Amino acid sequence: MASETTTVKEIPIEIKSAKKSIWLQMKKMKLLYVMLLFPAVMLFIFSYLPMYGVLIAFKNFSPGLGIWGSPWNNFEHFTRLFEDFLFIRALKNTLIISLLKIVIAFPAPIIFALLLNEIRNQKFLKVTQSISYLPHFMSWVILSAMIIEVFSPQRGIVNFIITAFDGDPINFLSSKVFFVPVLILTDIWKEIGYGAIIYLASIASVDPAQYEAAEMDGAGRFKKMIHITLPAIMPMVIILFILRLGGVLNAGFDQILNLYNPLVYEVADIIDTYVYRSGLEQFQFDYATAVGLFKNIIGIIFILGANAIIRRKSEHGIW
Amino acid sequence: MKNVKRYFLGAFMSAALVIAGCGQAASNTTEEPVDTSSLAEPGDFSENLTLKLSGSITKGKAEDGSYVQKRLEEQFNITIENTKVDTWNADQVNLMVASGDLPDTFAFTAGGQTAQQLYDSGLTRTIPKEMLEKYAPRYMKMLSENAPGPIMNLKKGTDDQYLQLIGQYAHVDGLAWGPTLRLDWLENLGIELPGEKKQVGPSGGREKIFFTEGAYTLEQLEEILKAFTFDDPDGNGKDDTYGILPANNNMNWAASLMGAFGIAKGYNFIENDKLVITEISQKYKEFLKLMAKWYDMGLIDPEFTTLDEKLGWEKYKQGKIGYYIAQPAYIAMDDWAKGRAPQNIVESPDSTAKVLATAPEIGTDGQQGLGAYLPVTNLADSFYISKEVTDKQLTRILQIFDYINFDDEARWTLYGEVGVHSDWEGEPEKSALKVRPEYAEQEGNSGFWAYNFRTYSKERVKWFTSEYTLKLKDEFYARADIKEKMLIRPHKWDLLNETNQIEISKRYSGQLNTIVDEFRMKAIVGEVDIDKEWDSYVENWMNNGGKETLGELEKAPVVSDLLSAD
Repeated sequence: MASETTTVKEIPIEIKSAKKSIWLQMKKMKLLYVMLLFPAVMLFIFSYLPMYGVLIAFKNFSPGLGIWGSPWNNFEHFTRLFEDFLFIRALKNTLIISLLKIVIAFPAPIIFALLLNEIRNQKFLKVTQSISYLPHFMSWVILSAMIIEVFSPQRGIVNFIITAFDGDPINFLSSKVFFVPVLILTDIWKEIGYGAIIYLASIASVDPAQYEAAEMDGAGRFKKMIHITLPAIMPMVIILFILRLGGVLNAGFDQILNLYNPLVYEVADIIDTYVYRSGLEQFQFDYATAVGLFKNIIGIIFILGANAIIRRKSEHGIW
Repeated sequence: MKNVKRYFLGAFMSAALVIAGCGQAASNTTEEPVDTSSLAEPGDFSENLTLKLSGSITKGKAEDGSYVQKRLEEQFNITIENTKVDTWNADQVNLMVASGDLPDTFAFTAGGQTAQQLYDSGLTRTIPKEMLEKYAPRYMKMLSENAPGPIMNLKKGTDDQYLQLIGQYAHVDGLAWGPTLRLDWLENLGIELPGEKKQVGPSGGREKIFFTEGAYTLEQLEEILKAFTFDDPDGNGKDDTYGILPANNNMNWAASLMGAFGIAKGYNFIENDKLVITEISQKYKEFLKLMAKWYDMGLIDPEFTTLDEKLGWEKYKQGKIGYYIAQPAYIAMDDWAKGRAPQNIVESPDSTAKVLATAPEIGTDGQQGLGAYLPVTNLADSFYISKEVTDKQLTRILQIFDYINFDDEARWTLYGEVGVHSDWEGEPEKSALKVRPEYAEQEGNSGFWAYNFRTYSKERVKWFTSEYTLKLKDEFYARADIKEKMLIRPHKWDLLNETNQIEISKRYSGQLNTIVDEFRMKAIVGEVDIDKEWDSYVENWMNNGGKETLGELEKAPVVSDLLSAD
């Protein structure tokens, strides 16, 4: 233990000595490198080596021939993507649903966390939080059955209210107009509580002295929320926003697969559902990988772009 | 730093090359002829062999050392390694195939690839006819009795090398579906029955289900559905019933309705001297127009757009739907069909509902029937042998396969010993067998069904089918004249894998199914004017893989020729 402490203490001295070779430095810190070795190997094996499999996006994959042995196909999968009008429609739907979710659903947990922070009755706070977390832990398979019942034109509570006011029942889940709003709404309902946890943790780290100082200056609860709490969680909001942009082509596969039907394909068929029907169900791992690669590249572009823009406008950002 | 970069790059490239090297080399270019005289004689099990066996029913739950495993190991002097993959789970199956790590024998209920694809991928081996004749004679007899069985699944360019083994599907013989109506509603409304009705069975709910050989015409059915919808058939004073409830995920609900137009889903026929697929035919257009008319009249439950078949069964159980499609086993209330419509309406002893099964509806030109479950012959499914299996292992595998699947003495592999592990449900040898509760019905501690293939002779069908279903099939659904008159088969079918249909389907089926499903739903609910939009729908279908599909189909043999091959 004593020798470890000594080694660690020597680190700054060694780093300052720029002329020493990197190997000498590593030798001095060998214990730390040994400790690093295991996670590094794990990361390499489970996160980087599998990336080799992305090669099948450029091949006609045949399991018996293996990844390398399968023949190259001259970007056929990518050509196929952009020649398929249904894929183009799915891409458009994905972007619309995803961007709507970012604009409408992303701020919901932030607002919810700010509101929770203002609740003074601890019992009420705990009950509210617990209830709001529950839907997150249920799969879309279960939730979709509940949603179908709630929006049923014959038995659903929503249509019960509509008909009580002399309206005509609406088949929400088969309507091109209402399907996407139902998606957004149910997505908010499912994730608002769980999504608020990280913001609540951020809020908890705000120095109470700031609130006290604001009170001395005559700030009310709303002003304190806007001028102290919100700026305090802003770095977290920005990081999560950038990461969310990285998944811009993930519009909610499980949710849509369990709720949609051919009548709403026009607005609800996203890349993942279309590829599931035309790719994975037909054992086309190569085609599905090409789509996945396409999605990842778009995601990276969005992350880099958003990070660069935010960096230019403020000091926040991922890197 | 440069050095470090170089090392990392070197390590990465080495790893990539190592993995690349791990990929299996292309194989199966040629097959050495088998000298069966150098192999052990049938019944010679002197050498112990280790085999990794998997059947087509397994969900990967066979316990090591189960009853069936022990008996098979002893009888054939083998050591069985069980496979822990659920062959009903498409994701698990596809991953197993993609990894190339397959058991010595395998068959899938879901997922997987075709025999040709598996062989081309170097994952399976061929099975020589000579070996089959020597080591699996019962199987070869079954093939010869089911033309064109002996020429199916042959490797291209050979007449004695099979890519897979195939199963006999006696359980799907005859009409797979038939329409049913709420009999109590018909009686309440004073509607005349189309023929003499017979009770399906004496008790257990079957006494409330009836069958008639008579059939309504489409016009009569329309009137009945109207009365079901608007004349308060359940007498509760509320306007809360519907004639028919389709499903949004398949077309089973329309099997006999389409049959009244002479068409069946996914099949093909000659229309105006041209080969067409059902979904772009004029007859299909007429079918859609009738459904759109019924929807517009309010006879179709509008909620169907959000309900798949399973949710539809639940809704039927609420007692608000008058018409439902059913298999013979559903109306005979076989165990496996419990919970399915229409039997679920009479399951409760307190239920006053009654159901009438009729013959398929009669169309305007007198057509009546439905698509055959299998397009050409009652041979289906696939049993594969891994590329890794040697001829020596294959001799043992074929003998086990032949015994457990085609020798009725091997009933113990499915139900154990009658009186010890299982009992007859009713009259011995004439009713279904039920496994005793202390033994796993499938796999588990018993190992039943763990290594068997999905192949059922008429005799074997009796083991798992109730006497009531068998009676219904004998008397109507699988009667020779009914099959002859009512089974709709495609005009052409690539039964012998002579075309590129599989590749075309793999490439385009996603697009084509989307186009068809979307148009069908929109047409029924009136979102599109069928007459106005029809041509653009067909053009869209043709331009997105339809032309290629029809082009390959043209090359396929005519089904009537295949059937007359015997």
